[in-house]
Amino acid sequence: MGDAGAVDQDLVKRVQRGDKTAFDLLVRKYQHKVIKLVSRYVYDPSDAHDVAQEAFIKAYRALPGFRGDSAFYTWLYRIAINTAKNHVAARNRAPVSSVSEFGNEDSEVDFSARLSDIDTPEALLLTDEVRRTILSAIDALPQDLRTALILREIEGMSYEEIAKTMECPVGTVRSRLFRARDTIDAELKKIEGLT
Amino acid sequence: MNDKTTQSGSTKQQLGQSIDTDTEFAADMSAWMDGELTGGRARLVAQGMTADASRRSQWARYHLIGDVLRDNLPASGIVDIASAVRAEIDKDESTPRVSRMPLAGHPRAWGLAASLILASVILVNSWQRPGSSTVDVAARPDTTAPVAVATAADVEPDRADTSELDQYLRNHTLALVDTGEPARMLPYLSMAESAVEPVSAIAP
Repeated sequence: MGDAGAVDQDLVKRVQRGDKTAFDLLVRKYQHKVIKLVSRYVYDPSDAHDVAQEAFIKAYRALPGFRGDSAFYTWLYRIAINTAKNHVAARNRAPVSSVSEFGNEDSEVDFSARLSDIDTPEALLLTDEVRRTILSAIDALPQDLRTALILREIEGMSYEEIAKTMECPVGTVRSRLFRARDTIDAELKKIEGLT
Repeated sequence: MNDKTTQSGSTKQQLGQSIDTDTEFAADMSAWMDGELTGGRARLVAQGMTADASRRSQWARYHLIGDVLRDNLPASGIVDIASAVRAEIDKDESTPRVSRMPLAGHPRAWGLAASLILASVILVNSWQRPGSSTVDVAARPDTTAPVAVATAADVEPDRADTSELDQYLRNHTLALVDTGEPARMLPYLSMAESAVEPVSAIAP
């Protein structure tokens, strides 16, 4: 118990059996971490999102060969880093003002579409609002719920470790964590534009 | 509950809510995402999320809480690339299923198989050499695999060796004949004779 990697393994097996929705859950879980990782190599936010997307697609297509010798996220991060490095290398080889960037109709469509939802003031405002909402909801939580959440999310403790630290049964830890998340989630659901 | 809980109306509503199916599901999902739920209930959570888009959104928001706490959000902010990725993988004609063949997708297993095939080829080749020609395929009626017949080229190096030996013995024999000495080399000569060709033609 307490191994979040087991959840990934479970989802991976589901994808390997043909469940595309299970991969959707993996993308939702890791998308921010992968974009942040890729952004260390690819500075342009639009490109970073494209590269992260490409990395997930590559991972999906390579999943039949994933045997689970390493953790899924380690494997995914390796794919993301390689994809980012390849992108940078390709970008360095390309001429500075390439026709494909602005001279082609399809690219113009893609470019404007990306501008509409990435790195716009609205997107940044939404992010700020989400961050403020989560932090203030955590502040408003009862002490025992807040402690359980912090020990789990920041310290990465298992339920058993949290139970020992907080001197309570494991079942109580489980309940506190759920109540903490559910309370914050209720506030998040009020934010317009957040799926 | 302490005072903080009662101060917030929405918080009170959330915590005082009766346990219904959705709440139970969300509680199980919370434990599952931490790796603290296994067995049949874990399967139910996974199946439930596959079937319900709103539960998948809830899963994403639960992870978002952790991302914010760990400062894992990218500088460009919150994004959702899941739908774009899904649209792209939906274009794939087939889902990348793991083959039912036991070796599929296992490079090490394929390497082992290749090694076994190579070892078999080497073994069969060694059986076909003249030195080990005592393997009588005809005497093994259960042998169904085709066995290659050794060609002249296969045995040529051995023949060259015996020819050289034969030539050496001939020279010695001729020398002995010329000098009238007793043929001390004759035992060796007889061995070579049986292996290659009769030397009686050159013997005195």
